[in-house]
Amino acid sequence: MPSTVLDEEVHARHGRSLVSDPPGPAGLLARRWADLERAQRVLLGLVAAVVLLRVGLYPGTAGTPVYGDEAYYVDAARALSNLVRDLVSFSGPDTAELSQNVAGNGWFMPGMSILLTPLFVVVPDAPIELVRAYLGLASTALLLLAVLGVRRHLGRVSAGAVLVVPGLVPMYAVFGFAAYGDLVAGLLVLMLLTQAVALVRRTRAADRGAGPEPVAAWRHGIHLGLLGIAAVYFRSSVSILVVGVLAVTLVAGVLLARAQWRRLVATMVAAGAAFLVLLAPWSAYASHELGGRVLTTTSVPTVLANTFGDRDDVCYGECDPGSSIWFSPLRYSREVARATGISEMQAAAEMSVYARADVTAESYARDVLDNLSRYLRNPAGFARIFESPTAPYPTAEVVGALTYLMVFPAFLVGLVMLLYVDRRGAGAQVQSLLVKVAIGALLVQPFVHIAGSRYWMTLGPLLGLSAALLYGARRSRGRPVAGDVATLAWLTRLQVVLVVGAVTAATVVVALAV
Amino acid sequence: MAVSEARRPRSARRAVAALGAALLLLIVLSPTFGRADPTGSYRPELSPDARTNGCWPLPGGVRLDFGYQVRSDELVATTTGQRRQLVLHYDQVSGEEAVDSVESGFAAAGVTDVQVIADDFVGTAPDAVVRGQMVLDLPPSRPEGRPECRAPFSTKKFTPDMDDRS
Repeated sequence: MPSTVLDEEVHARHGRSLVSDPPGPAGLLARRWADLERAQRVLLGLVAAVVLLRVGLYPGTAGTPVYGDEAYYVDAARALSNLVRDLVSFSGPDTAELSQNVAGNGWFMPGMSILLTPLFVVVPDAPIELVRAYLGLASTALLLLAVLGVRRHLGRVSAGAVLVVPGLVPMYAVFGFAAYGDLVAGLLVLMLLTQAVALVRRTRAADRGAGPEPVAAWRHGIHLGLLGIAAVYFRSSVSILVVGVLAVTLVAGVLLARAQWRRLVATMVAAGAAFLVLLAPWSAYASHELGGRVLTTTSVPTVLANTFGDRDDVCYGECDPGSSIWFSPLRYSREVARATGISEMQAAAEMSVYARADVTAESYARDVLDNLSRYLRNPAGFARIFESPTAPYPTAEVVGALTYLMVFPAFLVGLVMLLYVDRRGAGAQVQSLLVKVAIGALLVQPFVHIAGSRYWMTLGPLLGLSAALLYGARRSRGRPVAGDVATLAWLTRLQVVLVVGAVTAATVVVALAV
Repeated sequence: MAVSEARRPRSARRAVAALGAALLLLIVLSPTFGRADPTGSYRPELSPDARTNGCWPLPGGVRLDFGYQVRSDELVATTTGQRRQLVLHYDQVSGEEAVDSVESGFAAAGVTDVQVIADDFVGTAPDAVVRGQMVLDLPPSRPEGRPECRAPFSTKKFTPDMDDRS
C-alpha cells in the first residue's frame, strides 16, 4: 500500500496543486479508492460487509449466557489469568484451581482459553457481553489476517471467496462471538494451507534459481509447525489434518523440486519439532494431573462408546441419571479410579470396550451416516442458542434462513471439490491436493464422533477455497497447461488416489449401512 | 522518499514498543485488578461414597475390602416388609471372592439378615478392572439428617424426576 507521501508526490507530478487544494481525510480516502483496481474494491467491499455483518449481529448475541463447553474454555481462561497474576506477584500458583479448570477432565485443549486469558487478566470479572465482544474482535481479526495471506499466496479470487464463505455466512459470524474452538481452528488450518502452498511455490522457485532468496528451511518449518499446533490447541481433532497437509506438502514439493528434497525434509522436521515442542507442555501437564498418558485429549473412549456403542452399557449398565451422556460416564470412571487407583482414562477405555462389544460393521456404518447427517443437516443449529435473551431485535430466523441458503450450496461445492481432479498447472494441482486432504481429514469426524451443527465452522474456509479453485478451473478450461508433464501427471495421480479413496470409503459405508 | 522509508520502520518499531510496554504494564498491574473466579463446573468434586462417610453405613458398620462403585441404594417393599437393596459393581476380584468377603464381613459384625448375589460380567477381559455386579439384600436403615446425606450422586438414591442420561 503506498504511503500518503508517495500518493501526494504522484498526484503532484500529475499537476495537482497540494498547496491550494489540501485534501481532507475524506478526500484522501476518495482518492485512494479511485486509485484501486476493481478487484481490490470488491475485496475491500467484502471486508466492509464482513465487519458490518458482525457489528449488526453483536447486539443479538452479546448477552447469551455461556453455553455448553464454553463453560470450560471461559473457566480455564479465568484460571490462567490468575496464574499470570500469581507469576507477576511472585506468589505460588493455585495448582488446585488450575487442575480443576485447565486440566479439567482432559476433554479439551486450552487454545480458546489461552486466547481469552488476556481479557481476564485485564478484567477478571468480565461480563459475558465483553467476553463475546472480545471473541468477535479476535475472530474477525483472525479471519481478515487469514484472508490477507490467502490474497498474497493464493490470489484475489480465493481471498474473495473466503470472505463470502464463510465470512458472510450469518451463522459463522454469530459463532465468532462464541468461545468454541472450531471456528478459530478452521482459520488456522486455512493459514497452514496457505503457507504450505507458499512453501511449495518458493521451493520450486529456488529449484529453478528464480524468485527471491528462499526463507530458511527451519524458519518456514517453524511457521508451519506453529500454525499446526495452534489449530490443534483450538480443536484437537484437526491433528489428522495437520499431519495430512504436511505430508502432502512434502510429497508434492519433492515431486516438483526433486533437488530440493533435503531442504523440504528439513522444513518438515522443523515443523514437526515446533509442533511437538509446543504440544509437550500440555501433554505432560494433563498426563500429570489426570494420572495417565494424555497426548491431546482424553475423550475418545467415551466418545466412541456414546457414538457407536450401547449407551445403556457405558457404565456396565446404565449410568447415573441426572446428567449428560458425557458427565455420567465421567463420574463412573472417576469412581473406579478412586476405588482402585487406576487412572480414570484406563477406566473409561475399558468401559468403552464393554459398551462397544456388540458393534458390527453394519451398525458402525449406520452410525457414521447418522453422524454425517448431523454434521451437515443443520448448519444454523446454534442460531437460536446464541440469540441473546436480551437481544434488541430477533436474529435467529434471519441468521438461520440466510445460513441455509449459503451453506448448503457451499457443502455441494465441497463435495464436488472432493471428487474433482484438477489438471491445470502445478500450483492449482497442489492446492487441489491440499484442500482435498484437508476436507477429507475433517470428514473423519463422523467416523469417530457424534457430529453436530458447529463442526462445519472448521470446514467453512475450505469451502470458500474450493469454490475459488473450481471457478479457476472452469475459467481455465481449454487453455494449455504449462509445466513438466511427468511431474504434473504425478500430481494428477495423487488427486485421483484421493478421489478414489473418498468414493471407496463412501461406497463401503453406504453399502454396509443399507 | 528515502526519508519516509527510513521513518516508517522506526515509527512502526516505536508503536510496537509502546504497545509492548503498555501490555507489560497491564500484566504487572493485573494483581491489583482483582482475581478471576472460575466456577469449576466442568470438573465438579467427586461426591463421597455415602456408605463410608457416615450417611448410609452398611449394617454393623461393615466396610467392603475391595473396590466397588455403588449403582443404586434403595429401600424396596417386599412381602416380608421393607428391605434395603444395594447394587454395586466390584473391581479386581471375582464374584465368588467378593461374596465371600462380604459375607465374612457381615458375619464378623454379627449381622445375619443379609443376602448377597454376584454375577460376573460376560465378555470382559480377564484382567478387566470392573468385573461384575453384586446385589445386597439388607435390613433397612435410617439415614443421617445432614444435607450431604441427601446428595443423589453420593447416596445413589435417584428420584424419577432425574432425566435418564441417554
